[in-house]
Amino acid sequence: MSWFDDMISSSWEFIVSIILTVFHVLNIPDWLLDPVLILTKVIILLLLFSLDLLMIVWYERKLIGRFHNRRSVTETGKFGLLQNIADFVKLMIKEDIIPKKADKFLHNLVPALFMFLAMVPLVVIPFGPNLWAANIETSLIFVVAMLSMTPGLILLGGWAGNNKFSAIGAFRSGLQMVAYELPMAIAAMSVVLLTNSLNLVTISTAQQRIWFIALQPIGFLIFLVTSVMALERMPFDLPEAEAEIVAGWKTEFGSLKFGLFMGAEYVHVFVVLSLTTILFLGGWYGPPVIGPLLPPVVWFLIKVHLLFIFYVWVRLSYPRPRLDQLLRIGWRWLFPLALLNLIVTALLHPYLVALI
Amino acid sequence: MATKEVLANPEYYLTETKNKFGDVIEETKVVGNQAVVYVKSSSVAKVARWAKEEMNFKQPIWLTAIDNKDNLELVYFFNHFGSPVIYTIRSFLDRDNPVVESLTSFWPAANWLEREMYDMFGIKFEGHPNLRRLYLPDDWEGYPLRKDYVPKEYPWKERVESYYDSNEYYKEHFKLADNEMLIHMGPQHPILHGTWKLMVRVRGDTIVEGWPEIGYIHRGTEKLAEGLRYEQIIPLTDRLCYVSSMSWHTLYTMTVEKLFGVEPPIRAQYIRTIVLEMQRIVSHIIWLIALAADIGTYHSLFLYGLREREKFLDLFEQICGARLTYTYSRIGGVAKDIPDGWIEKLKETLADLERHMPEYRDLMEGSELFHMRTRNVGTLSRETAIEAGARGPMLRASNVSYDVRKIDPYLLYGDVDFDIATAKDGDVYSRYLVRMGEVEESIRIIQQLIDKIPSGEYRKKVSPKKPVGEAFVRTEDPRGESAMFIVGRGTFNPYRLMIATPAYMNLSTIPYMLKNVPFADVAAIVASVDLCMGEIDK
Amino acid sequence: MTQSDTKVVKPDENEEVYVVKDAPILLTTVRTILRKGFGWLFNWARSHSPWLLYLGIKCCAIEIPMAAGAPRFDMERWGVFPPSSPRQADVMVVNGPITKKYAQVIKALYDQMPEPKYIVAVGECAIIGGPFKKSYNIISGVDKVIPVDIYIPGCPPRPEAYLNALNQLKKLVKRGRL
Repeated sequence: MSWFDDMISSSWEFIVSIILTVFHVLNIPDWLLDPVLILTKVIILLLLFSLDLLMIVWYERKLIGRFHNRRSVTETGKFGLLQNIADFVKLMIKEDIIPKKADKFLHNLVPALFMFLAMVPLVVIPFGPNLWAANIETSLIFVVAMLSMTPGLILLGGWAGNNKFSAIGAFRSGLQMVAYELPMAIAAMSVVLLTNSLNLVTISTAQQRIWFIALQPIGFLIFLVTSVMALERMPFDLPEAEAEIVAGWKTEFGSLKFGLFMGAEYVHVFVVLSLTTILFLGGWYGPPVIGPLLPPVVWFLIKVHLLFIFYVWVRLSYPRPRLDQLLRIGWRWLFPLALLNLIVTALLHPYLVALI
Repeated sequence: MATKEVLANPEYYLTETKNKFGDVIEETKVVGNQAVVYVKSSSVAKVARWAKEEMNFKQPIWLTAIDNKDNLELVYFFNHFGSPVIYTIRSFLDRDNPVVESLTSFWPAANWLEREMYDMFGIKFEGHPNLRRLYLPDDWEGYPLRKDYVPKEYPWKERVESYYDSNEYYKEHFKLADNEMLIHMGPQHPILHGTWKLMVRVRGDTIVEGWPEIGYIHRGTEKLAEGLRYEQIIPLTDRLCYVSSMSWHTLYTMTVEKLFGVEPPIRAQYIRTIVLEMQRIVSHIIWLIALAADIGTYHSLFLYGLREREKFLDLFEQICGARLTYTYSRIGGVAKDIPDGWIEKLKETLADLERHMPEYRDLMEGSELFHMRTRNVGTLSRETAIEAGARGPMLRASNVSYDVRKIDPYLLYGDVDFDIATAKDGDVYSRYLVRMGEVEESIRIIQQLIDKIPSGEYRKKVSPKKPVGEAFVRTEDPRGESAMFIVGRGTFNPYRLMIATPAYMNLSTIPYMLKNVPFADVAAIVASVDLCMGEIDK
Repeated sequence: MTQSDTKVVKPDENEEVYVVKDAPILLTTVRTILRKGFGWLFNWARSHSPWLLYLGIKCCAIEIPMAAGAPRFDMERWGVFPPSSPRQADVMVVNGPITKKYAQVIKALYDQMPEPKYIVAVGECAIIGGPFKKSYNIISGVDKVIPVDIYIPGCPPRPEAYLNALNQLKKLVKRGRL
């Protein structure tokens, strides 16, 4: 895809040249160049990512509408494309209410921290060859660690609301974490066994000939189920189960804070789906014959979006299990299965590595 | 033991009562199916206990009172599961100090009924565990259903500001342990079943006990009815249970027709039966989608069920012009005749529903998670269900085969062939099976009647009358056994209208189901009770 | 917005005292700039995403919002979405009669919703007390408890009437009248 790579490299050089001229004119010292370049990369990444995020949120609503045999948002902009912008702006300008007895510091801090922690893993995810913001040797652990901090923040958020329903929702989220954490990590470890590296870039490039889903089918299924639990999407959305505890831990947050929570939820979804794609679905490599037709980043996004449609489909079909049933699913089924998968991978290691 | 024919004869019960309690009985009579016994007020509990234990009367249908100007007349109705006889105990109480012994020690189902009588008439029941007002706020003055009631100004505006302090009553009366919380699942809650408060006492994620508080949409229908003419009350009864409103105004017009002594024409009876069964289907669809939404499959079954309901609402709209509160029945028949093409459309809709039913059943029953959420949840054993006063599908799900349409047939139910849907376990899953079975039975009933509608007039013109007498009619609402009792004393408006609602009794069984259950089961349990707050709060 | 000192409105015998103080000058200037420059954007955003509070009092609740969200009438086309908590809602639809026991709850819900909020009174019971107007327990109309912006008559009104009212609300908000 040479024209695409040329386009990207030439635009990047253009941006670098602008920055260099700015540095020269304003006489800024040279050692600030590297951090500023990294910062620019991150900002561009986040801007492009926001566009994709808006699209994801839009077509989730449309897709749910179509499953219900109706057309969802149509009035705001053509086909309802501007609906999310309207929602976000409206949330920004609403009045911000902090209950009298709530913890004011936590109430202000938690949404911002939530969004921050959701967006941080984006900088290490490789969207294509040479299309990442940072390349850390242990990026897989980095991403999983950032994801694991979410329940702690949820506990803080539920506490900050000073509301019994919020507290119950927060505790439920903490308990849910216990169910999915280990199977998810172990399923990811099985992939690490195959590539001998924790670097997401290495894992992506190792799937040039065969995608890991063919080598690790059970691992893929386990990772898929636990990622739905980790994201607290239906059917595992106990911490915010509407019918029982109003909005769970998000009850007391209004206006921009709620907007940040909603946005952060979708950012999380994107991060986890990208992780699934990189670990199991071949990263940015397209299918064998028609691969070279599209740029790699487009293949990456197509895979992420297809997985997202699958998530929406699952959301619409299943009722919610109770908390103890969820823990049973996590500990009785997923955890032993993940361990078994790891052992089998370790035993068949030479044969699997030969296929890569 | 006495045979079935003897048990179905009210005279048998009257002779037994006179033999046992000769001196406290003031008068006995037979009114239709009722065995009416007038008892001295001090022995009401004794006679009721004997009726329950010796004569096998199972549940109180309702408890009401009539304000005769010089005394209060207490009326109890009890039903029998094996025969159509209704045992009625009536007793006169002193107006200034109405005290009578409570039945709750041996008949727990009478708990809320007696609280309502205290609320509305001021009758004090000795030995009641929790005698406080049911519908009205605790500091209300006066007893509304008495004839000399003058409404006083109630300071609801001051209560507006002090809402956040209204926990005082509860703090005073409950000593919570350190790891327990008292939660008001308040009148506004996404459990989409209406306006009531569920108080739960929670330890961790487990509910130790829970009980409902109602009265947030109490409109005083029974009092309003005393000021309106018989024909004008029909829209009020419509809005009792708004989800199944056809069954309520049909019940009311049937009661008034019995009071007037008028028999509607046969075509009207066919139409009424068909429309009642359609209403049962619609009501059960709404119940099903509410259950689905609470358990979590909001997106799948909720909206498909609404789609099915819309087809039925189209049919209703063609026949009477409204989508929700129909006001279709009139005294002497129905309001309008069936338009052309309605029957074909009904057949099409029923065929559609029959085709879709396996799909909906599969969506729910084929899902492992649904079974996990509903099996062994909210179980009421057979004895508990009967003792607690459960009605309708809740009773039939606990292996009790009792349906008013079979025991005491009204309209055309004696002439059609259908089964009673029952299930064995008494949990939420059994109630689901019973209601789905009832939908299928209703489709069967309609299909038997729909081709045989005779021609003739659909309404008999009945001029306003001033009847003297009483009438009691009971039917099988989608939620259970419902009844109305009208007392006429020679005026254009009724002297007393009593409305017996099944959802009220079903809701009062919630404390039995919420003992030491996980918090997440509340949604499934509450959804399985099939509430309609309009009829509970009258 | 004029700048003035602390204003004190002199009360009658039984009225409460309202004290109006102006905000500091910088904040007012910033606000005025934002409003003049972006007022059209804010009003457009508010009118296009009315989030509806999940309140169902009586019969009209089955029609609005339950049947209005159904596939046949589909109010989500206008961006209506029911969030689960009153803190995140814009529009409250009062769809039933208000009894003296329930008035405090409606007022508390109204207080919990953040500004700007719009109240829609659906059905005769919320407008004037409906068929139960003469009852001893009914307050004749929800506008005696909270201020109402839009009234929808009917008993119950059809869902199309509600969609029409949504459109009217949208136009009013867009023009900045509410």
